[in-house]
Amino acid sequence: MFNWIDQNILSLIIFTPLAGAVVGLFLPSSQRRVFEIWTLFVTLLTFVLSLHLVFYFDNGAGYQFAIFKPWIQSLGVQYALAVDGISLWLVVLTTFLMPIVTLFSWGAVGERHKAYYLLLLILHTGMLGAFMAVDAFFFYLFWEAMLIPMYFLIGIYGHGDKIKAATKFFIYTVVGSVLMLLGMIYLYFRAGGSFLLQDWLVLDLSTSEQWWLFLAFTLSFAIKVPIFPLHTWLPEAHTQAPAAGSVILAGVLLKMGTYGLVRFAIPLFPQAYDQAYPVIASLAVVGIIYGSLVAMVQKDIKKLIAYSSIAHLGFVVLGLMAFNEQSMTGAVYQMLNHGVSSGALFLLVGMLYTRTHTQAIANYGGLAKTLPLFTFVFMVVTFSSIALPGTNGFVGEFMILAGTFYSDLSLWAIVASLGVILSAVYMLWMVERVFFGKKAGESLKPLKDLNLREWLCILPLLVMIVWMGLKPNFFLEKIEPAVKTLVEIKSAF
Amino acid sequence: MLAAIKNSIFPFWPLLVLLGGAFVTLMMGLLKGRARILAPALSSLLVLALSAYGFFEAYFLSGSQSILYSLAVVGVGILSVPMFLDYFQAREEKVPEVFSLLLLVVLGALVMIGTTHLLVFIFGLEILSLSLYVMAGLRREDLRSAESSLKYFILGSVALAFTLMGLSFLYGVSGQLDLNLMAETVIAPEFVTLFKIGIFLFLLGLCFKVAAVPLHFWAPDVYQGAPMPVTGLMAVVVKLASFAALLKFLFFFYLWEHQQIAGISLSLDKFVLFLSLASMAVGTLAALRQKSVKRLLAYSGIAHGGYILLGLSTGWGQANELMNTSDAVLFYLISYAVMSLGVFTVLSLLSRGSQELDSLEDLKGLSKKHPLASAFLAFFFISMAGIPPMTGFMAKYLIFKQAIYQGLWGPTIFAVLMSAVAFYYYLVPVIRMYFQEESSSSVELPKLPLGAQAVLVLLILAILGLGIFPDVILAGF
Amino acid sequence: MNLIYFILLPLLGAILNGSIALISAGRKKEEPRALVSAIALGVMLVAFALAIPLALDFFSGRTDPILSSLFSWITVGNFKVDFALSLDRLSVVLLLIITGVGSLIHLYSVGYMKGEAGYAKYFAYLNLFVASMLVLVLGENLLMMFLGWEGVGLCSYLLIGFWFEDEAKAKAGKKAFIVNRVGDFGFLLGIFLLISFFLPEAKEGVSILSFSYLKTYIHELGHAHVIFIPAGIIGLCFFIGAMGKSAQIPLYVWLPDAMAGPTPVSALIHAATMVTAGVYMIARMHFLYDLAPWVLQFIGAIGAITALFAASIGLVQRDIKKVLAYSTVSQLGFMFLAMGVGAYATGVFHLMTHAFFKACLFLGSGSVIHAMGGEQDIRRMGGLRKSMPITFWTFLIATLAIAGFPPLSAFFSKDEILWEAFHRGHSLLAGLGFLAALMTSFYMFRLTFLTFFGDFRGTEEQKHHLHESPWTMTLPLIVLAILSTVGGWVGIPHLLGGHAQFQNFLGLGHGSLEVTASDHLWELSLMVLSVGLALLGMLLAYVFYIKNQSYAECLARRFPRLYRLLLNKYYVDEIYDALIVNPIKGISETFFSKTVDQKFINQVLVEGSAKTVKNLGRVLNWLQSGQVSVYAFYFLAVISVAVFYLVFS
Repeated sequence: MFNWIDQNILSLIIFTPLAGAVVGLFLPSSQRRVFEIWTLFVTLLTFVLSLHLVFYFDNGAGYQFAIFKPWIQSLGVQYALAVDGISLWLVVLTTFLMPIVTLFSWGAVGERHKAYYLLLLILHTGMLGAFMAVDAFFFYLFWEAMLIPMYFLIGIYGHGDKIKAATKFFIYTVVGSVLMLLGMIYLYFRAGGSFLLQDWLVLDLSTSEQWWLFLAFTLSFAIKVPIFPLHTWLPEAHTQAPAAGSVILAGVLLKMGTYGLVRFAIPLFPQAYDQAYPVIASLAVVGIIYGSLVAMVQKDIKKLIAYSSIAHLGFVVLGLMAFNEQSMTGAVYQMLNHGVSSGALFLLVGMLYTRTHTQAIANYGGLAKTLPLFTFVFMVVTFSSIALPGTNGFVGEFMILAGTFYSDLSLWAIVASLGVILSAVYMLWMVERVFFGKKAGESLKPLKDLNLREWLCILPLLVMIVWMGLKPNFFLEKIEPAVKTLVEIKSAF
Repeated sequence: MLAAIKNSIFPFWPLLVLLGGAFVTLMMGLLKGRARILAPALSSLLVLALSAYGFFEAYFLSGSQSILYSLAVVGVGILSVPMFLDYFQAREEKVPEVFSLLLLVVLGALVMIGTTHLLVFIFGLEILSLSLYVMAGLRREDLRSAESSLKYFILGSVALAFTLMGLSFLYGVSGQLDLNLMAETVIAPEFVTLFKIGIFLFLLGLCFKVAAVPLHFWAPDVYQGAPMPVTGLMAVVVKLASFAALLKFLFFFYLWEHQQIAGISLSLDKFVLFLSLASMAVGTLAALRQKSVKRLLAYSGIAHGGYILLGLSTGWGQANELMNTSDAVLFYLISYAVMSLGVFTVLSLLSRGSQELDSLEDLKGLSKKHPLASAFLAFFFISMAGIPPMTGFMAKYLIFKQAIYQGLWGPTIFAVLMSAVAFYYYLVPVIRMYFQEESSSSVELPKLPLGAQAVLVLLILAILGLGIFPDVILAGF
Repeated sequence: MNLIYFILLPLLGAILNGSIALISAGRKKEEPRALVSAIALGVMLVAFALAIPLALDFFSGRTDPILSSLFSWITVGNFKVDFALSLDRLSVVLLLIITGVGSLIHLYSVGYMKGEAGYAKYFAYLNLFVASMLVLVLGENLLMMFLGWEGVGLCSYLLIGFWFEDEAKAKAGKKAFIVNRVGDFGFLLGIFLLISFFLPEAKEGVSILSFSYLKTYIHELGHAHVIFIPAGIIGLCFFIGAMGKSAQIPLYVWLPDAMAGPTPVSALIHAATMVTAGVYMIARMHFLYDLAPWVLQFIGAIGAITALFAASIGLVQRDIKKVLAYSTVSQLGFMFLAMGVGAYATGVFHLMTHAFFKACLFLGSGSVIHAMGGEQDIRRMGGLRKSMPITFWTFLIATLAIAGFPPLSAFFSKDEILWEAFHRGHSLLAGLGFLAALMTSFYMFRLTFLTFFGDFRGTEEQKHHLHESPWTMTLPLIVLAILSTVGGWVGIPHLLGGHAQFQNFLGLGHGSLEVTASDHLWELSLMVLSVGLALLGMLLAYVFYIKNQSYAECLARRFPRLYRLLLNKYYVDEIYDALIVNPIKGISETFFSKTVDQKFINQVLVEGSAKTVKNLGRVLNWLQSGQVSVYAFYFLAVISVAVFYLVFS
């Protein structure tokens, strides 16, 4: 029994949410509570299953828990799932965030709850699949399939100019990914009819081939990250999305882009990367500074956090471009950190929104008086977001910058370090406006502080913030071997 | 004796069954009450099912591909019966004759798919077209229906004239009407140009039927006027049959070109590629601004035709790639048929009564009024847009793969970009249904009958099945 | 003994009090104040008690540091940082100050914060601050130090903005954090530079950021008198960090604003401990600065200029705490002056004495403010010595100490700084220092005279309310006054028959004391000079503020520009706003956000291309006329073209 689970654990993890969705399809749509509990149960089950990965992960490089089965034989597509140190944590991050998001949604979603929870579960499977697939075609399937539930989540349950935001999110991402598809087809032929990543890694591609393919892949990932100047879909999507959507978007979906860079664009096309990295690193640094500056003048809380995401992911991309053990490990770690911190921020803003129905900073003020507990939690997350040592954000940013510094991108690292100052500026500015000072208006008065359900949502995130800040080695030691292999592959060229 | 009869009849079994069935069904219009429309519907179902019986035994068709196309056509015929039944049952004027016309359309399509004889092909084409001309005008109270019928008829006749002219050139030059025989004739050098013109005129006639740009102008107008299920039939069966025929004929023409028969150089691949790019561009871009669902689907059909043509422009150099190409085209057509049938079925079911559900505005807030229908419709539209794991994606993927293999980078990049743009207009109905609130003019919408629901679920399973396990079709050949 | 207890104890206090604060806030109940005070004070006293035997161990001759490694913090490849603490002779001094003075201030706070809302929160923050400060001081490597460094910044932010409902106070906290972040940027760059030099060759499992490693291998950075050597750049980066934390020019601007916090906080954080972290850091990293003389010179110059600059602003300030704030900046300048001339031990010596007398002064001012019902303007005080004698006497002792009267503590420490500067060849800096010392004496006595002497100038209500503070507040004052007096006696120079034990104890090397016999005359005369200047300052203050108060106004009217310049603190805040803050805000708002982001990228590029594509459809719709004859024409045209092509190609 155990062996069977161990061998099929990845399939189990991926398809548990989907199976949950299929079962959910037949549950009576009039009972909201049934869906809430069912979805929470399914996501928790997925999380528990994913813990199997953490416990039985052997701290080494290479694929683990791999499943390779023929699938579409005429097209050379395999049902190939595996995790390594990089994807392991992203999988766990996803399974970790989803129950939280579900629990949060309990209070936030009233109308059309059935569709909502089904979409969440489908999205869950999509995200997990994208992180686990090691067959490019399979990966692409999940990569695209993810868009639909997210699109609906924004479009149906969002607010404001949600149609524009959802459509822009969808079309923008799709434009990038279709070109990647062509690149994948080319590599498929080049590898003699295989989509397996491991077959692609040993290909001997010419420089010009690498260039075109790198371009196609990177464009797709860069949109998803997003790298400046391909970012304008993000603030809109974040602002109009429902809180749960924002949490997933910031927590997991943006990581798809950086994950794609680590998994595909960089290792597959090392020569092209070798020529392109200063450009991308520059864009990343521009993103850090630019994102911070623009965040500084936002009037909407969610927009502010969205722009801060651009800056944070700029760090991740910079770390990936510096390409040494420290910076890469830091970058992968920072993906997780950003997932936790930004996820928590959006969650908190969501909780605020359910109370006040406004996102404009100007409408707030003096919340620290009325909502002391909420304020405390928000401050902790804020300091994680501005990378205070002792929190998770610091470890990631520090490793990225330290690694970048001793690569040949040290000048970039210096400029990027300015982001450390700027992040404090915009976040504290926002905190000051929202929580301090006198109360903005009487309308904010009868607010209730965090309830038990909300505590249950936010507490795991707080624990992660501190744990990942003080004992990062638990995570790093699993990431590092995979990164090391990558660095070695590249230095072999 | 019986065996002899069987042997002589069996090759034509499907045609005979359909023809006879059409007559019987026509006569059932004499019945009274509910049976007046139910009986023809059931009988047409029976006839279609019976006709399929003969496909694998001995058929006048050549090649397994033709069998599959025929099966697809018959399948579409069967699955569209509930759509016709529900649509016409709800109308004051029941028009039971429509089922007999449906059978004739299938009959025509089968002939088109099966034959290599040009004249026989024209017969098939005309049986199909004439039936559709009539069907397009069935909504007599609606002027646009009449306009649609008339337009279709006039333009169809013009196209037919050119096709026949091409045919006469070919016959005049080669003295043959069967392509297999024509391939063996030697063409005198002075007639080569005429022969080429013949080929092209013939092909252009077919391109008219598949609504390839720049011969597509009829499609949006005709689609819009015709009754909803008839539009569906046009979108599905006509495309299936015409593309199958086009594939078959191109196969011959390419072969001649390839073998340098009579020194013919036609650059057919370039010609097809041109049609393909034009179709993709025009279909996609024009669809962006449509306010009518039917017109939107017409343009989307044109764009889909563009992708199929992209597939048809590749792979004629090598024999094994030829297989892959025809596989890809077959897969695309079947996927397209399934998805379109789904869309039109839902739309037909919602269009019962005097009012057609055609304006995109009418879809506003549909998801609240009619969650099930909206979910079905959204699913089909999203599949058409080409999102995995639905088959719309797999179909496009196979075409792109063929094109990349042939090194057609430019056209393929153009195609994928167009498909990305296409997402926009496929999302428009979804936005209307799900993201926007109900418009003021709320129409009472019917519930989906169980039979139709079964069909729709079947189609969804087919879409997912084809998308996830394409080997079902691909591995067979 | 495991050093972690020093961190855990205050941290435990912070967590307990924090939980109490949160729980009572959540249930909207009154906080158990006695329990809160007991926890907060208890952990501090235990920590202090634990520190004493360790200190005695060092005083009795122990030289090797105590190490406690807890777990490995960050390990990636050959980069490794441990979560480790170490206690040596330098840090033990700081340990005593932090736990000792800290305990006193906690005790004081019990009285001072009585009746304030957020009592438990306050003590949670205060305990958390002590924990962070101890991490800073005990950290075995640069990253641990940075952990504490940012931690104390966080607590400072929280405590400055403690009364968050007042927007100005919340803003002051934010300003402190952000200005500190600018300094931290330098600190981080320094760490990164060190990493980039040492990491490539580092062996796996070696913590390159630990001070012991750096001390051993730092010479690999090279030793030269050229400017652009790594050691110099790195040293400069760290000094930028020190500028931020220790409020040196140009990053001092946050400290005067930081007075928005409760007064005990000002005493603990913004006088005695946190702000001296920069000095401590340079002493800790002295081996690095030994390699880079030009950076030392730079530090010395900044220190001297800051000392003078801040003192000059202090001359005219009217807020009792602001005067003390500028005084702190000025005194920190003295410490950096000492660092800059290489007299690390003397700098630390002054750090210690300053902790005593400045804490005493702040707490005294707190006592005054408490009695005055929140009034901070010294123009509305006066004659308080009668109603609050203990406060007065302790304040006076501390004033005498800071002014440099022998044999009070600062006489020894400050005087030695000036002497070191002078005899190591930095006479200009020493001169600036003497001038600053004169000003110090003047403004401190001005403060004392205006506050405690003369007639009461406040309202009747305030007068009625005047009272001496409770014992919880006066006891710390008395202890600190005693320390301000005797604190300097551990470092009496050889000239006066002492042995400079403190400086020798620290043993920071690089000739902390290389006093030669021939210098004795100079040393003595400088000593006399400085005492003279202190007297002069006191005398001037007496003349201006007690004898004839119109002199001061006269002078102010005589030099109105200078007066306003000083009163407005040289308009530095305004200059920063005009040169840095507003341009960045303006550019971000109008250029980046509105023009680049919204207009150009979003509207033109993204939505523009979408619109273009959509508009192409319009042409196609126009062709679709709906008329059969037009369609027939298209049909014919296409066929003609095809035939034409076939015939003529």
